Amino acid sequence: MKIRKIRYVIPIALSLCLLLTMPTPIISQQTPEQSTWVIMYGRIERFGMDPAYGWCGAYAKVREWARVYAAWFPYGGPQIPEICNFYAAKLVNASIIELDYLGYDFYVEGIWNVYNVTFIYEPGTEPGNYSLTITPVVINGLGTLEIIGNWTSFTIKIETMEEVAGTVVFHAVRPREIPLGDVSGVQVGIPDGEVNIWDLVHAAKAYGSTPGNPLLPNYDFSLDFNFNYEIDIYDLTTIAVNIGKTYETD
Amino acid sequence: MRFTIRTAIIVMFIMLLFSGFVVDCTEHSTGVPLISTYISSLATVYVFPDTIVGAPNQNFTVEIRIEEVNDLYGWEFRLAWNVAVLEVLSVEEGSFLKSGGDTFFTYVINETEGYIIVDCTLLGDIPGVSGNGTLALVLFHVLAFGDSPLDLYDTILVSSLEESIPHEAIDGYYYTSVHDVAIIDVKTSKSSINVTVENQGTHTETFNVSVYYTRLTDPLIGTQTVTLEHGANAKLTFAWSPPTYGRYEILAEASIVPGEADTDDNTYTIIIYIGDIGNLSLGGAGVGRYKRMLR
Repeated sequence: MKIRKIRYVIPIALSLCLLLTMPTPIISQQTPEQSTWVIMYGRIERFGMDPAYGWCGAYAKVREWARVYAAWFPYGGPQIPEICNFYAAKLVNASIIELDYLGYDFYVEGIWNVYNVTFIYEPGTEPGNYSLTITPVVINGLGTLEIIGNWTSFTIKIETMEEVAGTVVFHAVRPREIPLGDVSGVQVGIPDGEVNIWDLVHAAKAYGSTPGNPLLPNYDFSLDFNFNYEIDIYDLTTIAVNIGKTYETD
Repeated sequence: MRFTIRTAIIVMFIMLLFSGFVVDCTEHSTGVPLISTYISSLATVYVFPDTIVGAPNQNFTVEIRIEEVNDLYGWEFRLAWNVAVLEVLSVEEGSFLKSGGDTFFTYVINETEGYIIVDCTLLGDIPGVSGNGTLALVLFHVLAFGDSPLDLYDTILVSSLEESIPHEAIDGYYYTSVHDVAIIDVKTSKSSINVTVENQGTHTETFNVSVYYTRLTDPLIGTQTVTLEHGANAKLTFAWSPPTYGRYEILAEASIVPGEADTDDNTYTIIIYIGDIGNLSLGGAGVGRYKRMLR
């Protein structure tokens, strides 16, 4: 029997899910011909002065809209198998989305929310037996995503929070649409410039998983397109609607 | 000694032949060619039936089947066709993959260019499915005469280890096959009846064309045998003088060719009126009242 205890802030979680599904718009200053698409995945390695482990993803149409998510485990990752605690940051509203801006390769400025998320898994064989606690840490805080070093490293700065920094592992800047969903290829976990069955299978293998779930350990933030901490039908559908679309990779 | 070496070579050859193993040099997830062994049977994805015969306005279903696959977790294929001849009405998931658990199935139809992209995957960290079965069913509608490849391409089979499964893909083929002859016109002149026949099917046909008139009885005016290629027509002349005045029904009839479904247009009837008994004539103003009935 599936027991899911959501102890805290259900309205916040629901509104978070709704907000996460929508990119943050700003007033368009470009014609469609001038638009530039950006996608970036990064590995978070530092939180303040301490080591951390996590993931950052950015998907944007320059000067129009941007989605930026980040999740990181402080101090090198979860230590107790049944408990998974991490920070989750989301760009809520972008005001600046620029390439080659003030010395940054890519720069996003706007309003962010940050939450402390804790999964506590019950012993047993039912992967859905867990409790989820989402605690707001920063609500509507001013922050930036800054990418430097010819797309090699990034920093997330959000007011009242310590810096989050890491290494860019994949990026693409293209004049045409970069489809969401390219998360894998013949080489597992490496985007190959086409959304196809490799991506669908990669997400399907993680279907139903949640961060730190000991029974479904395949959760990957890069597959969680709506950032609701579960690989679900929304994520598969996000890939499915883009199947057949391609873009040039480096 | 020579016999021993030869025997050893033969034995090794036979062992190799029956070992059931081949070398797979497919590029695996590491990007490095991985040499491994597996049972020699190669999976096959194919269109079933491989040849479909139809006619305009008919529907037909083809299955995309798979044979001898091991550990299939997800698949993708593209199927292309001639948009001038066919259109796709629906795509459904077959029973094969779902026999292993819950699945996610999706497809995209490009009606302009005439292809579909179909994808399906199991869900969760579970093993793949092995054996034979149907991956998908595609319902086509025949728009017009012609033929079309059912081109199965860019097929991808993925194992539960997210590795490519080597396989071959076999296309299908559709073509139109119709036997259909028709009388498309009947005209009269002073001493003959001109019958225009047409082959509206896709094969050369040889058939009889007979012309009758009706007054008190149905005397046969004559019969001619005609051979027409696909799309061709011919005008046949049957000599006939009406025996007396009155109303006549002229019936031209093409014999039904083997396999013909549309037989409604194999007959053509006109009614003529011979009004001047002293000056029998057909056609033109002197013929009198003339009535024509189409088919």
